[in-house]
Amino acid sequence: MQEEEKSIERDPASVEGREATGPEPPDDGVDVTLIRWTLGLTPAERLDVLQRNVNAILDLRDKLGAD
Amino acid sequence: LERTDFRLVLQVLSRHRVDFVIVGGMAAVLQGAPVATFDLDIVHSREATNLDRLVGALRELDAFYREKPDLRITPDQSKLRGPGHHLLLTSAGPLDVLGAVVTGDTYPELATRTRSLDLGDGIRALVLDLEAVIEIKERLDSERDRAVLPILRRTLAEQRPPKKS
Repeated sequence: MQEEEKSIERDPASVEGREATGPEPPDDGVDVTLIRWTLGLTPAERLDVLQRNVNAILDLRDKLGAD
Repeated sequence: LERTDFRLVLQVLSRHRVDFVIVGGMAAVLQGAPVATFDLDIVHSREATNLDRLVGALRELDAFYREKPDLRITPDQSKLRGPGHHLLLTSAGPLDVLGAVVTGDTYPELATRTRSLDLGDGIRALVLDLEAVIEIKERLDSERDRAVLPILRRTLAEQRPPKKS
């Protein structure tokens, strides 16, 4: 069912409180440090990061298209 | 070419009180998956009153079907009433409006598997939970979807608290 989550609240799956050491799952080529970083952001912050990344890619594409 | 502005699209949908669920790559991103997506996929309620609200929002966004951009075919209630996929281009970027997902699930079913997330600027939206996003991408089985599945599965595993020994 639905669960409420506010932008000022950290995701329950945040890296905060997670032990720095411990058994790591098998290496599947996925950068788990990046996942833990994004999990530490709020949903609103994740949207901002995506928007910035998309803008950067589109800017680059426009620049390459203009050259 | 129109610039993508995810928050603007969501603001307009929210202001028109459209009932919808965010699905696909955006749903994964909002739940912490570090993947890129350039469009916003939503599944809308196909109730008559919601279709009116959706059409109002899409008009404000100058939406038209992007498959044949020269014809500028605009979505209306009769088109949006069915289970099909409406691949639109708006003044704030691409927007995919889906009557149903590949599993056949529509808004009422999907809404039971959502999280209500605060996306800032007064926007609160229902987002399909990551487990359901993974199930759908497994069914889609396209090369692009297969490529992101390991990241989504690992994100889901990281969301879950470690088991006590």
